[in-house]
Amino acid sequence: MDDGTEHSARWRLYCTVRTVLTEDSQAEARIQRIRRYLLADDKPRISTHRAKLFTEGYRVADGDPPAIRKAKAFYHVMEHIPIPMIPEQLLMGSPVSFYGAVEIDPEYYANWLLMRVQDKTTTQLRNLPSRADIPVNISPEDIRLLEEEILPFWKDISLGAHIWNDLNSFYPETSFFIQESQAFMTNFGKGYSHTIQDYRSVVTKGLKNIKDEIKSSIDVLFKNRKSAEDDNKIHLYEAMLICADAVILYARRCARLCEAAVDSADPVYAENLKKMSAICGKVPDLPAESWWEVLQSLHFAHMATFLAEGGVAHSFGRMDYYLYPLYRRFIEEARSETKEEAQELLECFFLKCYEYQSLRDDKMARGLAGDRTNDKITLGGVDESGRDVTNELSYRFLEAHSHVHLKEPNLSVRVSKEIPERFILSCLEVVRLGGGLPQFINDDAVIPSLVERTKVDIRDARNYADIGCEENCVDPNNARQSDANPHSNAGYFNLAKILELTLYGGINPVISKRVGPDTGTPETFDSMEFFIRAFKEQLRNAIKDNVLMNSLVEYHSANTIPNPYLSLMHPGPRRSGIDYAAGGCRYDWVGAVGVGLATVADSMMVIEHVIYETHSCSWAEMLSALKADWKGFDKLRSHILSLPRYGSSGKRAESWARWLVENFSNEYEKHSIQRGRKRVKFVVGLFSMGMHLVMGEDILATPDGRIAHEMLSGSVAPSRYAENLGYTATHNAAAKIGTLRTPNGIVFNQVMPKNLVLGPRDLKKWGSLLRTYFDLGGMSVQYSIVGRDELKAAQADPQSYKDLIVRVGGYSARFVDLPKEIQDEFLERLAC
Amino acid sequence: MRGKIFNIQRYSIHDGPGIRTSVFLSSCNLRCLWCCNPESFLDGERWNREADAGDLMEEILEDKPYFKNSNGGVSLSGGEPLLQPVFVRSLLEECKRRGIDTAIETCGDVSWETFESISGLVDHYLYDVKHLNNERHKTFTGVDNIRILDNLRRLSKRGERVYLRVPLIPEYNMDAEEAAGIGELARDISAVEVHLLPYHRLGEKKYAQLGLKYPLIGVKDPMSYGAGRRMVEEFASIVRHYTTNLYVGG
Repeated sequence: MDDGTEHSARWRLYCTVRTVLTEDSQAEARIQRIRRYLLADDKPRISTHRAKLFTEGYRVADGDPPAIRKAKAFYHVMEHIPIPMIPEQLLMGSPVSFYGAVEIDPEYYANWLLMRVQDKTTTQLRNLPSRADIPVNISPEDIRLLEEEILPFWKDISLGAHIWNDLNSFYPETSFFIQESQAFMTNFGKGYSHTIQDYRSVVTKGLKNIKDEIKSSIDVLFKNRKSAEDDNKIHLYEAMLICADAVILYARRCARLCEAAVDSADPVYAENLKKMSAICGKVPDLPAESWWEVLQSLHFAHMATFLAEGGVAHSFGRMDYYLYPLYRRFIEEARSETKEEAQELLECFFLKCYEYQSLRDDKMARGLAGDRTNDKITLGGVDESGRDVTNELSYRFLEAHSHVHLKEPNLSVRVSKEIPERFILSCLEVVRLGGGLPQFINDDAVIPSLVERTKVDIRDARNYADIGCEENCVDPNNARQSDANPHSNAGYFNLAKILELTLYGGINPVISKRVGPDTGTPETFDSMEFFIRAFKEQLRNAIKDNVLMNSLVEYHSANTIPNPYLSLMHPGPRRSGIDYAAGGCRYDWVGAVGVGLATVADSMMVIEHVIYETHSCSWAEMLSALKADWKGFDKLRSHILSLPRYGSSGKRAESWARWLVENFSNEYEKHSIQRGRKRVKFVVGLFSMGMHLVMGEDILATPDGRIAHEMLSGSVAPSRYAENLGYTATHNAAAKIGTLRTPNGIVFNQVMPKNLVLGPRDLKKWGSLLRTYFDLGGMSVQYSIVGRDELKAAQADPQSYKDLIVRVGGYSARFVDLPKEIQDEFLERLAC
Repeated sequence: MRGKIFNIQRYSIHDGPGIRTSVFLSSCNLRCLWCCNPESFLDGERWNREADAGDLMEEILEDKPYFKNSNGGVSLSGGEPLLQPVFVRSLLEECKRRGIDTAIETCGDVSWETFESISGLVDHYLYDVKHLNNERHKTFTGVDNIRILDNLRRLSKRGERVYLRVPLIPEYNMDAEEAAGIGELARDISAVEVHLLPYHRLGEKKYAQLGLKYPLIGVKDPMSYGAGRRMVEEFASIVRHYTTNLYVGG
């Protein structure tokens, strides 16, 4: 059916979706020129614009309450930061000062920029251009500016510095555990991430009306002040007003910039610039009255988040659902734009999402290689009353993704029982193009898990959208205005390290230091029960320290560097006057994340089988084999490798996976921490992005036959040692891990060769695979469709394959940006 | 009940309707030059293993929900599965007892009694026809096609759902005369579908691994170049004169 090139397939192949823009249309030609412009620049470089302006503003506001001080610093940024113009782009505003820039948020992570890299030769900052994964260029002048003027100011007062300082001063044992155990990563080197903000209110009411509501709240509070708490509310409200004005000011600067560019532009773009100038002069201050204004207003509200609060994965929620009434009103009824113009604008919006890149330290850059920010758009699913919401706009979003086809924005589709077959098939057709998007999420798994574990009202649970990888949250863009702070990453938690600490009695064997409780050597364990008890003890101890770290993160995010912009953008904080990070939302929880599921499940199966059942191996032999990295133990290892594993009909291993999810979840759910005035519970999820590579580097040989320092199993996928029996076997395993316990989301990544998804009949069968997996309880799945030859060619000639996108673990990345090991993992999965 | 198999492929989607679990049974009485499963007729534990019908059923049943949602089931393939008729019958009976749809992929070069023995147990016959000209058939597969075509007609007469599967090998059977013949045959036996399976060289790597010489040297994968794809399309368009239920690739 598809014998053309992949490229033209993006416009031509649809057997299920009729596209609005054809390949030969002028609009699509413009979109593709912008896309090429973005892809041509692949050398990220440090910009100090935001850091310098934010620091200036913050210094001047010394003495103001923290929320106001931060808002003023943000205002100073929005008043002066350079505004990039992308040729032919119809939307204005950018989270960066020029395209290709990586802005710095010194208020969060000045401290790590000045830390030494592992070999101690230089600092993280100076190492940026020469590091192996995602190098970032920086000019000598910017290094000087940062080292002499900006970073020293923040060195001891950045959020990261505060947390480390508290850990070292008050909890030295926890600090030691965090640094030496390698059991979990820290999660505070950036702004408060993973949100879905209330864009609908900005678009439909305009910031002007939102400001008026805030002003009347201040008015009421002033008249009835009863406590210092009321004063704090007034401060936060004032800070929100400053933030709103900052965005409006920035929009007006955009308007002037467009006007000034009219004369030198070609006639077609000059006309557009005139319109853009008028639009930016109007929104987000006033309500949007055309589709163009809707998207421009929404984009301003979104891009400003990064300049105000930093962070990543500031997601969009259920855009096809909450924007559809506006699309209908403006495009289908008032005809403010033609359908073609509406689609071009939507695709311009998609392209806008590609402009932001976040700065990460060397380890995170390796684990999250190729990721930019992972802002998610969620399509489809049921409404408050349980009816499927798929509509015309859902298809337009699919079309936009297939045309723009970049790794941002991230895209997922909620699958309800009532989802139209045509929509599923259309989605699969788009997935077939490669790139792994959209990801599929099961309403019948997510909704019950939110209701049961996070105690969300059923109507709000039905209104969930996912964030980033697949972290589930209540979308505030709805009539009920219910919002949530799901703080979705408590720090990647290395389940394999817990296994390792159990094997070595609490010693981290990588550095030969005692980090965990002394649970004894397994040689003294008479039965599997003893091993389980020791494992649980190590798990309990590590989670306790992770929770303590998170309670400091919550404290400083609420008090030291609060979040006035996120507060402005959430209905709960606007109503309550309480910061987003201080419990201002309707719902609050913390989402923990486990990595290495199959590696640990397979290892538990092996231990139980060879040591306690068949007695084919003693603990002494097993421990020697692990210490020797299996050298000299080939026979034992090949026996172990022949045992049926998680994902290849290994029922024992699969039941250990369920056991692990249950215990990981049980242990976290015992804990709650303080978020402002609220006690907040933990829930868990399982996804690894590319962290299974980095975390595997911290783990010696494991009982499942894995070699030391090799990558762990990714997310909830089988390990690389699992025999490939076919997709139903892997889907069965992932469906049965017990997803009712994982409201924080799971990622299940499947690589499929192109020849399995060729004709319409293939698509139907693929759809049945997906639906059956969801019937069986699966929570989410994503498919990377790749050709082996293509990947090989991309490895050999990265320059020619800049737009080859693959799915990693909750995010998509350019294949050529990935570490070699992850690239090879893809090739292995395709081997027949 | 035990039999010899060399592979199980789950989520098998090009061997009959819906999502299927294909069980590849060992040994074959044809020696097609392009065979992509040469291990099926090798001796030795390394490539072919004894399997217990009960264990096989257990693995098959794991995918029952997928079969149900996609109208799929089990496909017995090979090799030539009907060289193990007792084992095949026992698997088919067990599938039927569990309400699982069954297909069998056969070259048809077995006695009619063998087909009689599985009557009523097979929902779909995927029936390979490699050439209509007996001489050429013999040259390239080592056996006559007379019994094969005879069995095919008898199955059709018995009212079975027959899917005609034709490998397309450049320079061997990809000519207009053969295409017309296949079309006529499909019409005569009221084939449910015709599957044209363009030759691919995926088997070539296996030959090297098995220490065998690849017999079909110098023949290109027709889907890999423009003129080859056109040849496949021409063949298909002739067959379409006789039947519309035609699929390239199965």
